[in-house]
Amino acid sequence: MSSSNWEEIGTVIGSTSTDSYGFLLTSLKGSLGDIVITETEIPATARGTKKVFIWGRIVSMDRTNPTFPNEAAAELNRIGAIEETIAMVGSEHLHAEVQIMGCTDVDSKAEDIILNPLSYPVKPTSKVLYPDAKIVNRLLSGKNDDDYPIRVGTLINRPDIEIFMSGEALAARHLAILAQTGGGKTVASRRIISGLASHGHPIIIFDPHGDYLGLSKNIEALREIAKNKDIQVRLLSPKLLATREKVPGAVGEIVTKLGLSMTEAQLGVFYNIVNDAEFINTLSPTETNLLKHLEDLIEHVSRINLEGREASSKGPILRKLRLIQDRLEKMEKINDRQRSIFSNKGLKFDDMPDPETNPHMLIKQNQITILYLGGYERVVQSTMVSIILEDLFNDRSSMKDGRVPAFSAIVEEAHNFVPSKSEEKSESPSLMTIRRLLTEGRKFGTGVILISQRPGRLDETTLAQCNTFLVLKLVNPRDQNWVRNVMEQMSEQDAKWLKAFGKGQGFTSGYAVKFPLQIQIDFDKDLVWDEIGKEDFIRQNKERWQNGGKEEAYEMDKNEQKENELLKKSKRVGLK
Amino acid sequence: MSEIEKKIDARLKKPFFTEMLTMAYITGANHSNYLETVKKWAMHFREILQERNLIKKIVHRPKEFWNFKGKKTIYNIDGGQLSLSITGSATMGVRVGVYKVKPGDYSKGREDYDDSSLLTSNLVDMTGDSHFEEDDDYEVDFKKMLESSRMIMEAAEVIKQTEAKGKWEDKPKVNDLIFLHGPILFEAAMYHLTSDANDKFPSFKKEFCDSILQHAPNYILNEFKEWRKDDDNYLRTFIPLYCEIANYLKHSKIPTYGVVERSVNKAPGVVSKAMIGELYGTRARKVQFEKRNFDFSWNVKKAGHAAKGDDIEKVFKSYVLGDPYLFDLILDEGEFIQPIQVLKQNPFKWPNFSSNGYFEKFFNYMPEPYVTYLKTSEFRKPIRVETLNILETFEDDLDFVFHSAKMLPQYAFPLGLDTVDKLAKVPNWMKHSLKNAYQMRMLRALINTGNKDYIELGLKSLVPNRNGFNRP
Repeated sequence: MSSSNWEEIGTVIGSTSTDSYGFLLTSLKGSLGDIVITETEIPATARGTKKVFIWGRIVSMDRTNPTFPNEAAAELNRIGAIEETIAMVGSEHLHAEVQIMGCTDVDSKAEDIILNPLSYPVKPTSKVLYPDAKIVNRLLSGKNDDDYPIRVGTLINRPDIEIFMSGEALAARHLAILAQTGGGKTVASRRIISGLASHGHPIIIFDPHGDYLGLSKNIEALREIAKNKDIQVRLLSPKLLATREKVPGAVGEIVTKLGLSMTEAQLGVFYNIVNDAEFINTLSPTETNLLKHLEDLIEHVSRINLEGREASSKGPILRKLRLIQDRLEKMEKINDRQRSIFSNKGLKFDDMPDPETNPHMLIKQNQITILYLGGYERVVQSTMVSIILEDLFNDRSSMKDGRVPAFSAIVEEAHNFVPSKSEEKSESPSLMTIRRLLTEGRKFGTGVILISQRPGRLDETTLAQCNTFLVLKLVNPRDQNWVRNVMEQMSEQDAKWLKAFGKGQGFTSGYAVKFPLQIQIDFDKDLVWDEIGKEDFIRQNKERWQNGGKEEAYEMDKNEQKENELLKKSKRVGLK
Repeated sequence: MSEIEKKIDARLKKPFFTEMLTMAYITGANHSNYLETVKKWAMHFREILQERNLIKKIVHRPKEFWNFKGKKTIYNIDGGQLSLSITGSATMGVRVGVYKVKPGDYSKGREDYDDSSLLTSNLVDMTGDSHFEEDDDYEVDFKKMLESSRMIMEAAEVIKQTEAKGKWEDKPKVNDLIFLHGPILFEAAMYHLTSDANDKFPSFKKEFCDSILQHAPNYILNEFKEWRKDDDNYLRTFIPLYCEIANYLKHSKIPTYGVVERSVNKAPGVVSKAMIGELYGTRARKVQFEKRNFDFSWNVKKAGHAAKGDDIEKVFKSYVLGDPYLFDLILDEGEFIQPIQVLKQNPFKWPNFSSNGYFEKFFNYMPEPYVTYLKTSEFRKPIRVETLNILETFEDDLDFVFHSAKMLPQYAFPLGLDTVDKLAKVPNWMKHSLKNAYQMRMLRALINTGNKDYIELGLKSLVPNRNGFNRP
């Protein structure tokens, strides 16, 4: 490996260590996140020495003009440009702090370079070099064809250095994508999705806001980007599903978690009823819709004769079951309505198959399954996710022939499914399911990708199981601290940059990448579907007003006046 | 009470006037009405100077002033010394830096920096038939040599730049400006009197002399070469070299100024003396001017008799009222006094004149600078501006000094010189590491002796003065 073509960009100054060093950077010759190299002689054996290239990443930069005192600024404001005065413009000092990644032998061949830990500090006064893209790509990109690489973007400020994640690692291990709203979470996850899809890996997405529905609309673009013409996107309308054997558990879960609390006595009676074999046998063995089962349960309870003290519980139990039925129906209606909006825009939703009996409909090679959860309350969403993932995991872990292929589950708004607050935890059945997938997923090929804009509200134990992180812009200090606590490889300087990242810029580290790096994520603009998330309420109102809304309002006002007069008269003639 | 009187009252409350009051008290004079008297003298002289139109005013107009469009080049020169705060160690080297800048030029060539440095060991000519002989009783007087070489190098840098013998090929033009951080000319004296041969300066190496005198023909040295043809060792000593440089500066067509931020409070100050001399026609000034053939004077009507002038000088001395304090009271912000030729060189401090009349000849060739005080800020003492070649552009050049100093409203000193000061300074990290290395070696050597007394002495010499080690 020869350094002769690498440009000199600075000189090492100050105290150095085996972890970091600082150098004086030549103006405009490097920027934050750049990979730099310096050559140093280190002890090889007790007697001998060897020369190594020390690789590092610029993690912070300070810029000062020591010849321009602060007090001169006041006068400069009156004058305008500094160049008009006698002040020195070009005496700026650029001090860059480098986090050392490791070292390679000077005489090792470019094709076999391996980064070893550095055991001796960098020599102050050493030249700092800017390596060419080819060698950096070879060392850092993480592109290994055996691992089914997924290109996620480039090194920040170095569009010539590609950064890849290992597809294999994402399939078996777990990734967390964390960013505030507008930080580029969806851009990043779409990139990962298209990457996994390029290898035909099955994906199931739990989508509370419909952010991923556009993948179905842009299927051709997705096929083009992923270079896989067999990819299918399947949209599912959610249903609370349970076979009759699961009804007692599922109904019990919903009753207790929808916040309609029963007394201990009522709960006792309720569980006796739902667990009664006589009742279960009345349910249809082929029916999986939980709402239908709930209807049967209500009917069953209303018919049943209870004696003694139990009789007094019948009324409240019935009332609460009806309330639950009412709420679930309302949620379903909202979801229906929202889906119909998307359907009008050309999206086609299928009914959700039973994940227990029909998991192959959900998980299939070359298929991306998107479950649209909009309209449902958080607890119900969590219950749905829990039931589906549980069934899929059980199928995978059964090890039976014909089980579903290994898959990746993407959980959007993950803080709602794996919450950190204890009161929310008790209302999130998905928490334990997802935790199980994260702990045991490696054995059975059930990878999880958690996406959240509020990392501080995510369950720490669950997130600690994620072994790859992609953190984009985060401004909330609590979220920043939390991320720093969870991510061991994030330096203090990296943490400082979280708030400064631009859209699609972030920090990645962990099992699926070769080194902790600051990256710029590729933006697949062809996968964007403008119809979602487009806030055009003012336009919609105007259109409505122009298309008959005005006349309708006039008609309503006119009728109201007429009706008020009629009502007055009616009261006079005795209407009460 | 007039506006200026109010300002003077306010200035007299500044801490440095309180210090002065203490100093005056120490002299033993009766100064119960010290501040009142000082104020009256200041107002009196302000009136006299104003009546004779000897106080000039610059208006602060930054937006309008900074409009040079890159057509004026400013050279800012400053020197730095590398010395260690170790007992008995001499200065190790001298460095002179030049910051060149063209205000209003937006190109890459707007500004540049050049420097020359010299190690002490490369200064002294130890070979051949030198001015002094090495024997057991005589050591080269390095301290004297360094002091003088620092003065020479800074002034010689002007020659180098004017003759374009440094980094840049273009010679400065008549509308350009050269500023030196410090006096344009120092008082030549023996500085250090450790050797018994007080009429002797050590000779500089020929290479050093060649490097600093890059102009031809020389102004006075040629004449002296004729005079002492066979031996130029004398000509390679401080006085002839400095005299030659001073004459170069005197004849230069490029406006060249020394700017001094902190003047010594010698009472009466050289400018006060010159001012009193001009206004009262004192005998001392008359004699010196005639003797040294100077003819510059303010040519204004006298303010009083010569004897009165002598009395005023005595008052100033008694009141410890030196130049910086007096002109701080007299001048308002933006004002400067008409430049006046001062007499810096003192024959009694020069080397022995009896040495074949050699130094006396140089004394008569030595020019004297024109000096003014410019008040750049209401809150700072005025700065002193000196030149040897007083040109027609003087007032415009002072305008430049004023506006450059306004760039630093607190420091109130020209920004260009502040910049070169920072650039030419030997960095602390270099000094510290040298000092640390030295201290380590010394301590190790002392520990190796095993003698407790030596070790304790060594430790005492290393710890800071007020550390417990050095307390009684």
